[in-house]
Amino acid sequence: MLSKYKFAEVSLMLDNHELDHQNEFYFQWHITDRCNLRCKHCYHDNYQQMGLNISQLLKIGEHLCDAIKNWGKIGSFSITGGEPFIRKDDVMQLLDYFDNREEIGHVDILTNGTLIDQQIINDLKRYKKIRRIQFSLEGLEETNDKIRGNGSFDVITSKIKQLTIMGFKTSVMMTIAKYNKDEVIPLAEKLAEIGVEYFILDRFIPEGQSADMKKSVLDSIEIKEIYQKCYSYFKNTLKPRMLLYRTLFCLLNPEDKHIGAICSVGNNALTIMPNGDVFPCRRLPIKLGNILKNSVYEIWYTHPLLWEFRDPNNLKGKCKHCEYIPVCRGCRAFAYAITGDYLEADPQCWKDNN
Amino acid sequence: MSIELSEEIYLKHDEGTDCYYLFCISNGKHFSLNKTSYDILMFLKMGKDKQEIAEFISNHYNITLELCKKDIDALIDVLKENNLLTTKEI
Repeated sequence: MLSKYKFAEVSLMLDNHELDHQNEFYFQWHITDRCNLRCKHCYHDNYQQMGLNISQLLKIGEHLCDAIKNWGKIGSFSITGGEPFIRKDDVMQLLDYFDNREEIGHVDILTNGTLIDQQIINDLKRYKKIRRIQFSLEGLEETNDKIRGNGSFDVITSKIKQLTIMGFKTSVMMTIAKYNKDEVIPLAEKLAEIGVEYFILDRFIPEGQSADMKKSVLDSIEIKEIYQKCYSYFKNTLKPRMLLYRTLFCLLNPEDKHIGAICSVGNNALTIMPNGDVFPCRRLPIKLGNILKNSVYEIWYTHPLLWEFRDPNNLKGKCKHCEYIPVCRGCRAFAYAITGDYLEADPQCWKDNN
Repeated sequence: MSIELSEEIYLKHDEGTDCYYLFCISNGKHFSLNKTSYDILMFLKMGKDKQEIAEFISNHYNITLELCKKDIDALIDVLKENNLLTTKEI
């Protein structure tokens, strides 16, 4: 039977809404691999690259901002490393540039905190687009220092206090694994004491220098227990506020529209590495191109891997027919690290477990 | 006159949503297409000329050659307006 003929339509799409589900586009930008810490669970495996020079960074920044503008979106950046303040002058130049781009909504800085001094704090005060300074802690002092190095807990918490006094909003990310799973709520209580505004929980993914730490990965039952505790604790806690928009959280209460989030891979985010390589997500280390050679449009529109992610029919295992596909899809990076297949079911999902 | 799609054009049929797109990787513009315009553009990309495309569409959908040519011209005008193709006098 012949298909019905339709006039050859073509219409300009002024924004990216048909490809993306949100009005924000996020770039996580690792400007250097160099770091003064060697955290045991780190996803880096190379700490040598200083990264591109500042004129290259500014050129990339301009290109990414132009893309966000063309797409009619609001842009957000996280500037990170390595440790970004190893290149503190370059961080300030980037912040200066973003401050003058109206399509940029906010910029976060993800830092280990150890290099922040009063001069850096004074400099940061100049930039109106800074939303938060994000630190990482892995539990209370003893546990944290085993992972991040002796004395790091004291240094980081003192920097948080210093920034809080100066009027900055701060957040703390905790990467949960077997070794710190019982310290989520105790750490949150400590963070409340020192004025941290936001608390972010991420799942440990064994890759980079932590690739041989697979035994530290939590199983689905443990993840469920931690998420349940967090949901109960944080739904009535204003400070720190836990950012519950993460995959799997929606399973706890599908009626609660404030929890859970679709994986951003192929959806509304990209990661730029110190040499310009582009990854779908920092935790999913598959090179999509290099921003010095390939435009962000070329990568975003043409890379087959991103198209694979966009079509939920490609998901495998229990993710494939899950009713929560519109609000979850699991963590593709975690699936990749554990199974070698980024489309496999999220191994930490507890739904339909016997 | 031969018509060539710019090399910066990327055509995509997203099977998940059954949507058709035209992306320009140099300036980020993107367009939604329907099946007919996608097919015409794919033929252009393959180097087919307007007559060949019109004949295929006409046979495939069982419509007149004149209607096909008119539609192809309208589509080409939109693409020209957006600098998405080049024409060469032979």
